Amino acid sequence: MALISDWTQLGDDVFYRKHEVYSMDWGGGINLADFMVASAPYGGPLALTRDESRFTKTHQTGKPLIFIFSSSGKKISSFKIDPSAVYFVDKKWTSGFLLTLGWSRGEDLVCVQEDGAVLLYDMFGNYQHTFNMGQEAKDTHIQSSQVFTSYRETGVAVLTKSNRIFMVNNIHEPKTRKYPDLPGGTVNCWCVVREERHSNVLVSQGRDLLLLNHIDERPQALYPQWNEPGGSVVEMAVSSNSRHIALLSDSGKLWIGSSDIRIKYCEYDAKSQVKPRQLAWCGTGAVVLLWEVTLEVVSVNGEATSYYLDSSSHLAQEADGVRVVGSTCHDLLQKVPQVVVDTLGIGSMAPGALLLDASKRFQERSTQANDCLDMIKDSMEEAVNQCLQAAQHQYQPQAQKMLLRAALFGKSFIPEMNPEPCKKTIFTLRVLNAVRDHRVGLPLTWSQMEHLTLPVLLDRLVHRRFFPLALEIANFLKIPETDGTSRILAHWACFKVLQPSQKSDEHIAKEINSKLGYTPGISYTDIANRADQAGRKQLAIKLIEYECRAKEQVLVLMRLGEDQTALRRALQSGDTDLIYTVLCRLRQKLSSGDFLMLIRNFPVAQALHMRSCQDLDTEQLRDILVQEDDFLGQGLLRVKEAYNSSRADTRLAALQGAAELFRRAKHETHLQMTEEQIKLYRWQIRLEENQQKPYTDKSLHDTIHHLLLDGQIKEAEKLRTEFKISEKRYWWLRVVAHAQAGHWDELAALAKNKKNPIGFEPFVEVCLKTGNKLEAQKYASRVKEENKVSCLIKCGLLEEATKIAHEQRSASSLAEVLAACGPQHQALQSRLQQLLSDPSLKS
Amino acid sequence: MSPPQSLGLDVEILRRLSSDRLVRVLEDAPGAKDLIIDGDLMKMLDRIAGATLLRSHGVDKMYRLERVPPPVQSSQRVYLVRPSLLQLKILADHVHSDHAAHPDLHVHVVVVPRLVSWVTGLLEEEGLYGALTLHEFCPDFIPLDDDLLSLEMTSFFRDAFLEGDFSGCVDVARAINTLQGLFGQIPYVLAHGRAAKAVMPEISHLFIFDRDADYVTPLLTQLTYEGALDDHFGINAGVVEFPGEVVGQDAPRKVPLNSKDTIYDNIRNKHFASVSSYLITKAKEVNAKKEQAQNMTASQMKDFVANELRTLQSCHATLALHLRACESITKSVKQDFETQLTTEHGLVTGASNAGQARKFLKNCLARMQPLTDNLRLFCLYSLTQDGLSPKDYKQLASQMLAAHGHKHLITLNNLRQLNLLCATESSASSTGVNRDSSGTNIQGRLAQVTSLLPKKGQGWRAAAKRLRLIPDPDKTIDLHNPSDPSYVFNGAYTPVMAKVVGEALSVRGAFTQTLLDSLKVLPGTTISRAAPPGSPVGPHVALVVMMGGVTYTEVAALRLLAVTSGTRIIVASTSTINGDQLVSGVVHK
Repeated sequence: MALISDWTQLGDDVFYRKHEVYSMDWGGGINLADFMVASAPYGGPLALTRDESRFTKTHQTGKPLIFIFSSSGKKISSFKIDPSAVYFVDKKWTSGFLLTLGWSRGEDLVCVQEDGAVLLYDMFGNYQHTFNMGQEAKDTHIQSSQVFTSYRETGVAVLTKSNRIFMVNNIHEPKTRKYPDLPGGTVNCWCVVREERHSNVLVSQGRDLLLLNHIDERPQALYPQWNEPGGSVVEMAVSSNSRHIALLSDSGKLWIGSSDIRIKYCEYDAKSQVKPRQLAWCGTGAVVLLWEVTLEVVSVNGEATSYYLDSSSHLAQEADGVRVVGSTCHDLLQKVPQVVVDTLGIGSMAPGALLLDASKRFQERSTQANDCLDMIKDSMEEAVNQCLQAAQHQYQPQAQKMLLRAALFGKSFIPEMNPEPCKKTIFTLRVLNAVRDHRVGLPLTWSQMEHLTLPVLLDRLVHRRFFPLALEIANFLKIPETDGTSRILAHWACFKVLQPSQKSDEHIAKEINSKLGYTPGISYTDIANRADQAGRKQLAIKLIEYECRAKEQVLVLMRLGEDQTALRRALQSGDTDLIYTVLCRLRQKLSSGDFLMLIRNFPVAQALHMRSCQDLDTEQLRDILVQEDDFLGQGLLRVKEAYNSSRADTRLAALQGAAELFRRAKHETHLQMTEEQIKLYRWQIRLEENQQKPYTDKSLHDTIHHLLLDGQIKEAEKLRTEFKISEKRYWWLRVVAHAQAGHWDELAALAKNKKNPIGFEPFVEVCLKTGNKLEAQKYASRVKEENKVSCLIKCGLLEEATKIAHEQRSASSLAEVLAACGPQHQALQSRLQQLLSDPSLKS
Repeated sequence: MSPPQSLGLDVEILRRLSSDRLVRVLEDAPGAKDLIIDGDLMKMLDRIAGATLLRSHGVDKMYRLERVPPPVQSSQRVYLVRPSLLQLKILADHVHSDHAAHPDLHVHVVVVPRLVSWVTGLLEEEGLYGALTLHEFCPDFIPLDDDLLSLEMTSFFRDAFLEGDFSGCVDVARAINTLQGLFGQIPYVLAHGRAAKAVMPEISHLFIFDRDADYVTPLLTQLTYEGALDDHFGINAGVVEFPGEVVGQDAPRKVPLNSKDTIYDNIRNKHFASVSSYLITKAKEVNAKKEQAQNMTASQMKDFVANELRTLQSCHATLALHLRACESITKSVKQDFETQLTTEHGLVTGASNAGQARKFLKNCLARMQPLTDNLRLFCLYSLTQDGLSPKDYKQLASQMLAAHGHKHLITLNNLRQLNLLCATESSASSTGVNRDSSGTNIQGRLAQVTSLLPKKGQGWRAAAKRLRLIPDPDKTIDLHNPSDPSYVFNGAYTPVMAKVVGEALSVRGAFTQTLLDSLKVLPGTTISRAAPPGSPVGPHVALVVMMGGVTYTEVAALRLLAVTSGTRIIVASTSTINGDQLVSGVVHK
């Protein structure tokens, strides 16, 4: 059967299969033996650079040229490590001999140099960042290094020429750790063994095998059980899950066991004194030795097989297999999963195998289909699942189809079966087939995909700039917008703004907006920031116009230096706080004059600014008013200042200044009032000097009032004339003051004055106010006729009130008196009622 | 009279929302803490959360924010402040001085309602940025009663209308949004005014007005009982503080005023003139019931003591309290209360001539009446005359300054900026470069910001006529059993809000064009939105929002309207306000 033709048996019921995943797009021109190759797991890209160690060193200051290819051999980029990028590490481009290439988990290329500098590039050759492995590494130089997968991240370990090991566990937070010192002597080989959260280093030195961790002070010697002890380890490889290790001795013995060296699985004699080109794990079940033209596979139970290669190759270790990259083709070698063996294996009687058989017979319209079905009618569900799982592990769409068809055929006999596994398998296989296409070049297996998860796959596609494919997949799998479409589009936009283009910035911004619209989860701020970082400020400005969060928009505009636009947007948003933020920033940035001229065009901003000045900065406020030739405003400001000061001369000066400004503003009312105030103020100062009493904070009326209270009628009189107070007002002031001070004689004297302009009602009122009814009664009879009754009532003279009311023949007045009667006025009450009954009264 | 309260809509939920939010903020500082509160926020906090609630969330002691820091007793201290420069400076001083003695003290600052960037900036300048933890607490509308909501933003009027800082609108908008979130999208919206425009949600109608749409109402003396209480004792966040003489004790007492008190609920909206007679009748009823008790059998008596006596006694106490309050108000009203009213109403209706009013005002000035009273009358005089002649203005203004001091030149200027005062400087006085001709000067520009000036020839009188705010003088208004909202001013004037809302509610569905046209006479622009015809309209519940403070008189007028139109009306505002508060907010301190 074609499906199992590439299987090779390695022990009981254990098969390995090797099949071609790509024929390399790069053609046959590349001899991998001449290159240093780094491959990323999960079908990641390949990085190649000429292996200088294989050529005579000419000590040219050439910068290493690095090529990056997809797994299918499609060139993604080529670039030279750019000295300017490492400027921060070293002031100048020193030797910078490139030692190791490796890939990070995020598929960034990690380049380790001899001087300890580590540079990160993305797969398009864009410089990301740099760190170094410490001063010591720099000074003593590095002899070898490894890029490894640490706990959830990527780390770098280096061995200096002085036999010291330094490690950085996370390249994104480079903290260098020093490992215990090694004894002298040459190091044969070494590797990093990850153990939970920390990483140990296994070193083969001379005949010793030493384990170093960063806690212990000394290396710990390990003793693997060799059949013939005494050799030294020259090559070692750790499995992808770090549980197993393979050690190769100088005599060509291969020791396979647990990574703590305690358990030995097997020992195999490779019968070679020469080191293999590469030693790697194929999944966890076998170790692969790469020789010049052969590939030797040794399973953990010691069985071995060989494949012939047609060119020098490179091994890329995966969690469930190993990829063999050759000059012309790219193969995948992996253990055949048990379920596949069960389903497709020759003579297998597993339910899956029978279902597959039944399905085939059914299509051939053979009755034998029924016989097969009969045999598995009790284990149909298991059969379906087996076919599904077998399909999952098939690389060829043809084989997938065949197995899926069998699964669906079986499923049709169990209608109650959960359709989700089927659906998931079919959908995921479609996605896998799409990304395996050689144009994309991601040769992911099912289990790799499970481990990687879909969001990460989408990220990787986006990272490789396969935006349309990523979008298609997101839509096909109906991933929620925020995780799928909008995220991809946002990445696309960020990428788009970085691409040089003939189109105008406006056009690009429009194009981006038309694709993105206002999808939730898309931040135009991020895109604009990206454009700005790429030095495309104008494009950033155009893009930020689409941002609907005013705050973000304004902040970006300010950062871009578009202050006017920022101010305008802030004003449109109506968010005062935002406007203040912009104003604040503008004030720092612009000269005072420019700032004032700018905000002049924005009345709302100006109003807000003036408001903040009122509390904090009156000088600035004055500047604005001066700029606007607003004499009135300046005048008013001066007046405010006048009353903030208690010093007489300051206040007087301020008031005079205000008066001058009002004159210039031609505001006569204010001018006149201010001039009067100045006059009054001078007068008050004189009064204070003469009488040692405070007057200056008082109004004109208060001043007179206080003079009157003190009996200074003459002074008061002077003020009256000076300030032309009308008779009426003056009389009121006097009446109130006299009553308040209890100067009843004065009041009486005043009452005698014939020229009374206010009548006697005020006299009554003020007396009553001070509670002096007796004094009030004196004047009650002298008020105007129509007010007499009510005045008399107020004074408690009910009898008189009755009399007057009766004389006036006014019913309403009589009623008023009646209403004022209390229980003590029984007699009066009855008299009033009697009077009220008189029909001749005026109503 | 009782408005239709039965229509769903539990506004109490708003209080719970705010209190939950406050608790969350307090729990951000877990454990025991002292609370130091901005005096401005005290009343509001009282309404949101009681002392027990605060204590159950770790509040140990509470202090008012003052210059001298209170003793440090807890390891944590929470400041609750408005973003005002002065308060923050005091706060900063506290932190500096406490930090020396108690380096472990953890300080939280809660800014109400929003943590604005300049606050952060200021604290940074004070070198305190890392030393304290900043929070914000944004209260929603606080229900002062079933139909009265307030944000207790007392400075909104001055900030927005005088100084052009409309920051508060954001908070009003947010609060309205919360209402919409709770009770659904509001199908009919009518907003008028500059601030109203900025806040544009089982509520059928939403009305939003700016305070400057109707300055006359707050300037007039309030005549409803609740209004009178506000004018005389001041109601803050729904609580009045009666002086000792009213409560019959030595110390003043705080009394919450709301519809839970049935007696108060019955009299609050009554015309003041009819309150005491009502109270006396009620008191007599209570007495009669007590007297009945004299002739009861033992078992009846037992029943009576168990059930009724208590209510009767509390009734009695309440009645006595309000009677004393009435008495206190009657006693303290100005001697010439009648003249004051006649003058005010004469000015509004145009019945009496302006000369009398001017004379009265001059008298008041000469008699050194309180500043706010005089300013109120002055503004009312100016408004109702559609501005004063230069001569009039000059004379009155200079007497105003003579009476109250020259620094009130600024006050007068502020009032002019608000259009509360207006002097039509005659064009003949060629000397005058006045505000009208100088659109370029700052004031003119500020006016552009704060409010759109009413167009020339469209002064208050024209507006009053257009909106028919002055009822027909021949129609008598029954003050005791009112049917027309104008009863709140003895039938002399209908508050604009009551008029417009009344007109709008009289038609089912969208607002009529006539109504929208008539609003053009008010400063500002109108926004109206109506649900597409045929869309379901919930129960008749209207939300009336006043930007810049609502008076109890307006609330009373709207309550009457609620009864007559069969709509539940909820009034919401940035705060409650009366004439004195309106004017004193503008007075230069």
